[in-house]
Amino acid sequence: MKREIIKAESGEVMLEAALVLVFVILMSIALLALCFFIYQQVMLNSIACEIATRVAENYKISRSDLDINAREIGKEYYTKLNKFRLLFNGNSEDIHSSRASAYLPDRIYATSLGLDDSEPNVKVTINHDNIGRAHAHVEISVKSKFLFGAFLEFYSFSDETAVLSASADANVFDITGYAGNVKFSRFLFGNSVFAPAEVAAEIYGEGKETADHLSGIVDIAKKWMGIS
Amino acid sequence: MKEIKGRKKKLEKFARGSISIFLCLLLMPFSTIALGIIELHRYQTAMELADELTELAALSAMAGYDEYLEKRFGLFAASQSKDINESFKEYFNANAAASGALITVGDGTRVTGKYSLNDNELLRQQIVDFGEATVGVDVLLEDVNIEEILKKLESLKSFKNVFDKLKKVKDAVKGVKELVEATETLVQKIDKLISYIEGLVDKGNELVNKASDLVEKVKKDTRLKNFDFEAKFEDSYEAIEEIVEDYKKDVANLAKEAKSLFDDIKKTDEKINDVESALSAITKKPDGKYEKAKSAIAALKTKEQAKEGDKDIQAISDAANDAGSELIAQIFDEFSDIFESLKSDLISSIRSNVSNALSEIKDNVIKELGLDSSRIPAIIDGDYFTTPVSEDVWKDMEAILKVLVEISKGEKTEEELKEELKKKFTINISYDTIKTIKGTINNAINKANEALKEDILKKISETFTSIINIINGLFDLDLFYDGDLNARVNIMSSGNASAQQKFLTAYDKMNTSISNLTNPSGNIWQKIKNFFTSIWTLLEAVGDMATAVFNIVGEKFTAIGQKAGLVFSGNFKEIYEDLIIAGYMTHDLPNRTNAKGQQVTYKFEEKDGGIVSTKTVTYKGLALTGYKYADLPLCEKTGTVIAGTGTSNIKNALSSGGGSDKMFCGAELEYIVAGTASEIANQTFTFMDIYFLRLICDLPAVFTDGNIAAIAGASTIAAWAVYLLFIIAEPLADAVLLANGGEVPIIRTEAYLSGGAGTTKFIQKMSNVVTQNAQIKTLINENVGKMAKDEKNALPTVTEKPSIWQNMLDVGYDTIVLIDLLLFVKADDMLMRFSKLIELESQAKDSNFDMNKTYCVLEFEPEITFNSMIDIFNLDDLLFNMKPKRTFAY
Repeated sequence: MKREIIKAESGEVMLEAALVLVFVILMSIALLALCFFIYQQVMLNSIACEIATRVAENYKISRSDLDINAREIGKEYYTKLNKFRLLFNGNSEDIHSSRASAYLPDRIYATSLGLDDSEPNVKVTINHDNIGRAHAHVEISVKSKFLFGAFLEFYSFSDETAVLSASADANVFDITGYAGNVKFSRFLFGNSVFAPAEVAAEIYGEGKETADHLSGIVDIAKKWMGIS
Repeated sequence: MKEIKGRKKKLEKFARGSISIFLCLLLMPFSTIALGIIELHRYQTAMELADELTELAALSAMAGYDEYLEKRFGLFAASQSKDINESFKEYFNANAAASGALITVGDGTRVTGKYSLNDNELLRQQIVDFGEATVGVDVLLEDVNIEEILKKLESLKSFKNVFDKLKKVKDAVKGVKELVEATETLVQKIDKLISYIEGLVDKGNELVNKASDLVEKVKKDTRLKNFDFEAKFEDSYEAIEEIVEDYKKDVANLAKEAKSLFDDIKKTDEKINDVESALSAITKKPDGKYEKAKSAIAALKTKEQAKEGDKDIQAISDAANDAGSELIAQIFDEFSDIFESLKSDLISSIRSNVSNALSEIKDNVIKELGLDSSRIPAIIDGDYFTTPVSEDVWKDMEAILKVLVEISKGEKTEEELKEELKKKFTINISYDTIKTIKGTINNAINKANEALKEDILKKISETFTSIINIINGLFDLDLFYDGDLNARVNIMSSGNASAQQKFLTAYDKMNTSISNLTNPSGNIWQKIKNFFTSIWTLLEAVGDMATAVFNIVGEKFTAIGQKAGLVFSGNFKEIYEDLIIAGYMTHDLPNRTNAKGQQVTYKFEEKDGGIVSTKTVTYKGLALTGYKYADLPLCEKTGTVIAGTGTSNIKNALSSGGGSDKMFCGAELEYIVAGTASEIANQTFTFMDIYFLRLICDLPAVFTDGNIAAIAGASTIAAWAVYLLFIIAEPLADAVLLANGGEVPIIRTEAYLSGGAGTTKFIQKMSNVVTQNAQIKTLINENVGKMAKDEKNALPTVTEKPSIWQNMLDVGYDTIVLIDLLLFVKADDMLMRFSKLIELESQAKDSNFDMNKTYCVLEFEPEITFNSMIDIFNLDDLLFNMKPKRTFAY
């Protein structure tokens, strides 16, 4: 009887299913949590790009009350361009960070799959390259809590409340500023204020002197270390 | 069994195709939903794409900017020669095609220019963007340290007290004039008072007579004992009452007139105080200054001789000293005497007599009007009518009636009655007193008239004529403008030459008043009055001239203070834009000293029955943007060149209107300063503006120069006039130097025209900048140094190398105009004029150019159609059309 019972195959599937399904379900849930996480990360990247693009478009405007997503902009904004932005960045970074901060929470809420998104942060930095252009660099971060987020923690993938961050860059749209910089370069070198030859000679002279100093330091170091 | 098989087959036949149908039924909605979702995704993609393509196409289309504006001015605006609408559509569709033609842009697409460079605010932003780095560096490199200049100018505030002192002269002049007017009014009032008193005496006499008649009647009437007096003589009683009532009114009027007289006397008294205090302030002699100044001159001469070792230079210096200093000193000595006599004779005697008059009136007149002496102070202070004067008179009337009743009852005789009445109306005494006052004032006038000898009048006339001639000599130079730069363009004038006009008008008034100064005529009173009128007119003219200078200088000081205040308080943002804009204008626009080349060609042709000449002026140099001035559209000026000198011509130039020239000939910067349609007027205005700016900067030179101090010291009372003369003349020398390419120290410490060491430097500077100019030679030879024609070549060359500091503080025309713009021209005015200048230049290049269409903000509104996979019932048009709006600015 006992052997029959053991040999009997009825319920085997059920049993197997019970065992496998638990695992499968757990895996599925973990996968779902991972998808939420990835989606959130992608969404954040997308928002960072969006903000970078908007910052770049209205980079010149100094008023911090401008909606970063505005498509139609009135004259009152174009008559308040940011001073000193070409030479010293002015206070561009603060202005754009402020505008982006006002926009970010709502934007995250609109497409987020997180159960709870807290402490959204955004920082805009403006970098100038050596050919007269400026670039907006946007960094955003948010703490998101997902459905089944505990599984991600279980698998040591992230904390239950994950800190997500993203960044994006955009070349700012500032025609007059760029043209001003180009003309300034032309003015410096073209109007013989600084003759190129003199500048080159000066750079060469400075460079050579620096190289000589370095060479001397290396020689002394070698001597101390006993390297011939 | 067969039957079962048959049924099974039937059933199989019946079920055949059911799966297909079932699948069809299932797949239809699934497919529809799937397709719908795909379409939705396509639509979402199209939305994103539309946004992206709009931005891409907009930015690409904006690359079609106006190239001339960019190259010439560094400004960006949509090109007017290209159809930006078409460009936008082309770019959009090309990009859309590359993205699979998901969307297309339709004919309803619109690109609208929103704001143009004609808007000052937008123009300002672009200029600041362009000039932020360039102008800053250019100003630092070429225009010295502005902050340092502002500090220097700020330090000049201490000289303002000198102007305050000079202003007292004007107060004194005004005081003298008002004193004369007040004296005249006083005498008129006295005349009126006398007539009132005479009337009052008549009325009093009439009253007494009527009362006497009545008494007579009463005495003769035998019915008195039988009838009631008041009822019987009601008519007579009423007649007396009427006379008393009139008398009461007359007394009230008299009191009113008396009060007015007291007020006038008080005013005159105050005026005399003012005049005396003002005169004291200006006639204070500087103790020992004359001797000190003489020693300083001697030291300067020795120093000069030792340093230069050049006899010619010394000779020039001496000649200038002889020609200028002594003449002026002599003139002002004469001038001084006149002021002294005015003060000692006329003003003093009026003062003493008016004082006497006041005390006499206080002591006698009011008292004798029957008023309580305790009320006199109240009357003097203007409270007369608040006290019941009429009540007193009414009481007097009651007293009369009481007397009459007493007589009627036989209690008093007629003689007693007359005595009683006379006690009440002792007017005759006051009348005599007032007549005496009039007499004393007339005596004062007579005494003053004695002081006014005819030769003094002559001296006044000669003095002022000499001053005017000297200043006229300096103003009579056509160096105010470059005659080759003489365009008159067709634009509305936006300049404001009021300050300059006021100065020149005041100057003309002074000039005219001298010729109007005539010997006084008529009786004594008219003579004194005419004298004061004529002398006042002259003094007023001098006062106006001084006021014009003070006002302008005051405005300049205020402006400097405001700007300097911004700098010192660290509020750089406020001044930042103004500096950028002023610097941009100064270095991007040609001016009379930096643009005109050597080559000037003329072409003569017959036109409208006469021969007209066309002149072409070549340009040289570069604008701040790197644009060559030689590539500017040249002005072609036809007709006769406007010529003329002197203040009247300058005034005409300042008020001249527009013409038909396409643009200016090279004095564009001057247009920014002045804003008139005439290039000559603009140059003149700028010259005058520089002149006033230099007037401030030269104050140290005027007030510290030994020669000037000596001249002023010698002329005592007229020291202010000596300073005024040099204050007027010194900046002219600077302005002439600057406007002709020379340089001067930002703050000058040596006078150029006083005949000292500064004169030598001036001659050297002049000979360096405009050696060919005949008028400069005249100025040097005749007005300043009497230098022989060939002596100029004998001048030693400056071998001493100036220090960096000296160079930094030496400024040229560019820099002085920059300072002028920065301090005294509103940024909005500069921008408005600049906008017109852009229009002129661009229209000279392209006649269709319209400043109102220089759009720098554009609104893009594409009409986008989403191309769905299957278009059923034209749903594309109905549902999938969109018009996203975007604005972009350069």
